[in-house]
Amino acid sequence: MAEEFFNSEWRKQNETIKYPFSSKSSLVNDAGMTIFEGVFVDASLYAIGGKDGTYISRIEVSFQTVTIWIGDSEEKFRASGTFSLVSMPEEVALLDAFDRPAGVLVSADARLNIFQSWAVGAYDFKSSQTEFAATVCIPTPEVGVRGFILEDGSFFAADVWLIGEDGVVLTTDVVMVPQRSGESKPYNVIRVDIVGDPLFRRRLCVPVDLFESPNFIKQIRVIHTGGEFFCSPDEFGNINLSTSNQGTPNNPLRIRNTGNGVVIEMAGKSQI
Amino acid sequence: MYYGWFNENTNRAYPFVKGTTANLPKEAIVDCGFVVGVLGDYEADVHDVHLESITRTGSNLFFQFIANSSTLFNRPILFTRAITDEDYVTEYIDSGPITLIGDTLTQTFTQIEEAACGEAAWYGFLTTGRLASLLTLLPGNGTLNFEPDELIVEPALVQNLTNSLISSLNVANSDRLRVTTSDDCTQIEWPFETGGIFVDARCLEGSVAFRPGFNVEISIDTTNNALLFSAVPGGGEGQPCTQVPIFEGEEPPEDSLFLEGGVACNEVLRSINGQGGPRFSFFPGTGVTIISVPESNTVVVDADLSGLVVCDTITDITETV
Repeated sequence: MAEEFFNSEWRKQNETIKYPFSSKSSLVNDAGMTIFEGVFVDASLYAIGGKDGTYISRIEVSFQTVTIWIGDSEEKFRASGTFSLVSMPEEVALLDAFDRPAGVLVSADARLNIFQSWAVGAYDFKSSQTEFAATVCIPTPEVGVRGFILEDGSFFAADVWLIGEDGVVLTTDVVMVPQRSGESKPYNVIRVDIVGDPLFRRRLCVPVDLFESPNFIKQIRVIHTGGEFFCSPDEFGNINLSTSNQGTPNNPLRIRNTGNGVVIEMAGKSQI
Repeated sequence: MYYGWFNENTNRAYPFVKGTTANLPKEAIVDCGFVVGVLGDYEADVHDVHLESITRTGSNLFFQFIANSSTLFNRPILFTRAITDEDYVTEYIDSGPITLIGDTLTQTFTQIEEAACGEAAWYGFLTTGRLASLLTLLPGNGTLNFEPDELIVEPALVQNLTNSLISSLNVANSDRLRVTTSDDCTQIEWPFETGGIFVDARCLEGSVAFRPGFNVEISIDTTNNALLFSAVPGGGEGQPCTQVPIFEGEEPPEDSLFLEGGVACNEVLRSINGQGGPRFSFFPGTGVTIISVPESNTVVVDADLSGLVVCDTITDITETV
């Protein structure tokens, strides 16, 4: 059985040491602004794509809020967290440029109120001044596809839906792709077809119920003394109205086109 | 006797926040850590993870942790120990609904995890220390329940991966615009529900390829690390010979050749004598009267010879169209 080893509480233990910063960090910037031991008592940092040497790169103080930026050897402003100077939290959640969680800074006993004494402005720090201890930095390499960014800047991650619409059709398939080993490995394939939507113009109606379903004329039903019959359009959707001499050798009926219709008339001597 | 990380924690609140340890003996739990998955909906400065209860059934102890974000609340993590376990046993567990089967609490994955493509909403580990003093609080079967503000896990022990990566791809198609009929016409009956989203595939993981189909060209913009999908007539596999269904088994309705239910060009009267619409007029000339009967969609063309000098013998050639 393990024997008890008496020591102080976790946060209490960290109040008087530089943790979660590295022991070699000075915690003082070039302008002499100091982050005292105990302002932060713990941290967990996992910015996606973060590199070595994560540090507090800037602290921006406004009248109402404080924003803490963390950076690394590659990117000075990798992620940030903002808290209110009025209602002081104990945790500062860090988010990256796409609002993805990047870690948390833990404070205690309202020690973040030290920033109330800082004048409004931006205070830059170097990595040698505020580098975090490696143990609080969780490597989170930006491998694989972590998200989709659209042209408008919107970001999608987690369980992502790709939906084809307005004439774009998405389908999936599994294909076997030969590997170097000679074996074939299944790959998911998303096929994209752009084939249009024949009735797409109806979607453009605003409001949408402005569109009224048309009733197309598909056939002309002709009723005459000899019976009735149907006329269907030809391959171009056209029907011809014409006269013939089939019923009578001197048919007086005349049909002629005008600009927007036909005139149906009888040939003969007018009464006037 | 040996000293170390676990041993240090036997006499302090860690891994819980100091002041929230309630009646739990400090040496019972010496370490833990949690990872919130991509669907966790967890915010480090709003939510927390806490120990909700410890249950003893027979010779087993169950430690139930919950997170108070909306998506994690009903998906606790349940760690199991035998009362005879030695010190510093560590167990890794995924979240999931918990049910009591006989004397045993069992964590199962159900439709909640299936909705997330099988990935646990969150997961974690627990290292227990000496359980003897805990057993004095639970000498027999029973449960120690804790308030939400008790036994809060140190925030730095929770890694939050919410929205941090693509866990899966799902592919679907929105319904095509389908032909409708006016209220006074017979409505088209579709053999399937229309107007929704038709799911083609769920939970695609691993390597995924995009293939250009009809009228598509896919290119890579290495500068912006982007995939570009361009609509190019004849691109990809060229022009389709038939309509492309948006889901397997899509068929046109009766009386239509087309999936959207539309009519073909030669099925609609578009012109008469080569003159198109949308308005087409019949003009009565000399000797002809044209009467419209809208209620029966009828145009009566009556060659009644009106206005003409008529001989004795009249030929009746009235026709109705």
